Amino acid sequence: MNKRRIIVCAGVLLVLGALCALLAVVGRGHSVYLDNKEIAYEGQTYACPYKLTISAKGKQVAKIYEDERGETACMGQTLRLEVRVMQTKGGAEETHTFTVRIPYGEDGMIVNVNGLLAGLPPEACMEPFTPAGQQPAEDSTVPGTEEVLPANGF
Amino acid sequence: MSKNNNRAGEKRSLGKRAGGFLSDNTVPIMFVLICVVCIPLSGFSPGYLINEIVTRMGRNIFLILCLLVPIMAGMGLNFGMTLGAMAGEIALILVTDWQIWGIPGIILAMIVSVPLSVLLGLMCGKILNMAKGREMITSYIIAFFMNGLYQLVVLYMMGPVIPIKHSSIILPRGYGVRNSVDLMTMRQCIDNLIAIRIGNVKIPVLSFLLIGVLCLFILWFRKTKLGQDMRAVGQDMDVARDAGINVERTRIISIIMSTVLAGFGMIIYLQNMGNIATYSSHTQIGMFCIAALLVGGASVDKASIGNVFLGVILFHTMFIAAPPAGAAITGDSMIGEYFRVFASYGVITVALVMYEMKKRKLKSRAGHLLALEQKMEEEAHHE
Amino acid sequence: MKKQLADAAGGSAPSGLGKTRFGKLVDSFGLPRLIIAGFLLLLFILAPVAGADLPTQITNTINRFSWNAVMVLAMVPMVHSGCGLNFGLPLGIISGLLGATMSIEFGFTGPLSFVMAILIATPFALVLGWVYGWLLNKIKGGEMMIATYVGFSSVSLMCMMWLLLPYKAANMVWGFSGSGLRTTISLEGYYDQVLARVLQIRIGNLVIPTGSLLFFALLAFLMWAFLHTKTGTAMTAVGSNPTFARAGGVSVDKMRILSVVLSTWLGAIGILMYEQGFGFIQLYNAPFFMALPAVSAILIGGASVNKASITNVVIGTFLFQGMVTMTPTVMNSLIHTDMSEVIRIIVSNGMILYALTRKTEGAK
Repeated sequence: MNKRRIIVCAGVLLVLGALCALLAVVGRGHSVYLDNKEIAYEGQTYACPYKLTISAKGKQVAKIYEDERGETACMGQTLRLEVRVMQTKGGAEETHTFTVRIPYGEDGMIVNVNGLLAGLPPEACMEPFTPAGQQPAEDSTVPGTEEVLPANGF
Repeated sequence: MSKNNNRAGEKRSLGKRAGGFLSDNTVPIMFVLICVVCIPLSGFSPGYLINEIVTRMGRNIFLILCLLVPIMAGMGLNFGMTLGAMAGEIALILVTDWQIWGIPGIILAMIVSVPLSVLLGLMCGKILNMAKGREMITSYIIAFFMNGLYQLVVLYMMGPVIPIKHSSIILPRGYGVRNSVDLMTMRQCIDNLIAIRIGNVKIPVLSFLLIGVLCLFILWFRKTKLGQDMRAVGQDMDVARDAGINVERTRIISIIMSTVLAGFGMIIYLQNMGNIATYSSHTQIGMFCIAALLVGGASVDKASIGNVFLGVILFHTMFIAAPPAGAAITGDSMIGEYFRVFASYGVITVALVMYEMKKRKLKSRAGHLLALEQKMEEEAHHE
Repeated sequence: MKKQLADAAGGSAPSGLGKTRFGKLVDSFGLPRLIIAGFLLLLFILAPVAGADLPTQITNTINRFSWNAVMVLAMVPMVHSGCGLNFGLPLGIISGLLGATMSIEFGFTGPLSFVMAILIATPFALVLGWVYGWLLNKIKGGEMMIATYVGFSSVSLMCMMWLLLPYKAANMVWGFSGSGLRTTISLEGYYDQVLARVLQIRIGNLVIPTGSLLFFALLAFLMWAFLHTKTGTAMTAVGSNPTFARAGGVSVDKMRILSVVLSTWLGAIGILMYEQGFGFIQLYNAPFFMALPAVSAILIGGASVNKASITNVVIGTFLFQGMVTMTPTVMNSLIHTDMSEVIRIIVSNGMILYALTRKTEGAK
């Protein structure tokens, strides 16, 4: 075969491969669960504030009171959170920003925001999220293989 | 003598022209009449209808455009576009399992679908080359056959042989993909990226941009050497072969292009739907896309971009309006649904019959002309 | 000369085995058919190993053979006259369904309902077959594709008709609305097993539905006899060499219409046979895809797009139905997976693909 064609083909494949890798990294989605819970670290316990209002990319994603969990989604491995803290009911609010790094391999991550507020290192505040049980078996029957006719969704 | 002929000729030509217009465009006109009847009966507001049509246009036009290339190359209606749809589906299932979201997920799925589409298109093209003259029924059966292989892969090999991590995709028994794969992570991401709202109507601008790019590509492709070769092959295979064109290779390339585009189109379709009906999404897609194309006035050997747009609008209007209209006329809601299936099959039947009749008429006319020429030659010889 | 013989036998693609006697046998019989026959033999051998009761399996196979054989027989006339494989079998099936439903509507029960069903279906089959044949004459060359879609359009038209036609019999219409036929109608008390029970032979677990087999044998014999009459040979001539036939004074168009009418009528009888064995009338979407199993059965039996014999029908139906019956039970017991649907799809469509891609002489 033509040597030039081989080089062009190889070049195109290389570019596509790099593009695929880039897309796989940029587009990797994670579910992030935000906890407003007590956290213990190195012997000390840190109480949780009354209310946390969390925004990401300018939009509010969670409003969590004591001992509650909120959820947000994150595309890519970096999540920038803007947290408005109300320590006691009716008290003053302060804002802090945190940047959280999520490992590529995890689908879901639990972040204890209280811990972040207390200044604890990020690794101490995060743990992978493992789903509690199996997904409910809505279709326990083997999918039907008969020829289907009128297509309702077309 | 000649003056009389001219006047008679003019009069005939006007009537003949009107008759010619009607016979060339029977199918679209029939569908316009059906729509005109069904729309008022259906009780839908114009805003709702327009919104539905625009959504469906954005969803389906890419898929239908992929049918144009094989028609150009004389392969007829490519029922084998189902193979591209299957490739797109498998790519989407894999990307969903890898948890790649949003637009990057879609682009990745499109890239991943290409090698699979090329392989399937190559196989389909080779088989079609072995069945010259019967391309349409062969591609029809290839679609069914590949459906069996697709089920073999997706229902038995995904899980053990092809690793799938998430139990939400795999059946409880441990292997095989579920009936329905949720695409929440990618749902409508192309549609929503640039969307314009005019009143009630949401226009998915990016989808239409992609469609526009494909249209431009098709128009440009027609003028390239490969495109000209395909048209030559479509006109007459023997003449093209004599002119030095590799007929077999050109035919295979047209099918591969169609399959790859069908893969992309299916991904666009599925991201709009928001979920994959793993075992039934692709089975009807070929038939409905072909029906829509034919409704727009295309025929087995001639189709243009205008046919695609007109066909989608007419076909889908009928599709939406028929069930409630049928319920309004007969009181039974199933009648309208059966009617739209009947209309889809009926329009393909009518188009196929008209095409075959025209082909025979042209052949017999050519035969007559040849006989006439020979007779005139003989007479000239005798004198 | 050798090539002509090989072509005439229906499988003209030379395999790599070439000139040996075994190679010629493979060429003439066709590699896929040998594979399928071998597969079925393997299943029969494995059946007792897998714990499946062999006499029951054989009974099931013979039963399914008796149900389907007539529909496969319906392929023969059109192949002989050059109209290709009858993908438009649903038209015959619809005539049969009309006969069956109307026979019950008019109040006939028991074996008489079967006879009346045939009698009522016949005029429908003749009319539909005649129109269908006329259409096929106008589009010589593209029969198979158009046949498929004519079949589909008529089935979907009938879907609407089953809802609209004025049927009143209580056991056929939907309960709460009182109009419109149900999707499946039980034939108990009508002609369920009416032929199968005639002269039934029982040997332990093995039950042979002699009546059905005799009925099929009768129809097959009539077809064979017909093909050897003057009209029958004219029909075959029209298929293999139309110009020669026309020169001999035979009207090609009339012969083709005759073959289509015959095929449609046999299709009607075929669906009635299927119903008496199966025990139910299936309406609406059921007839849509009934042509494909019949087409692939006759192809498995050795037929091609323009050559088919009664032997093809018998062998093909037996192989196909045997595979459909045996695969689920044997596979299930052996590897605990029911892959039978997928295998059936791959084998039947693969067989049709094989036949469509053969180079045939005198094709159009």
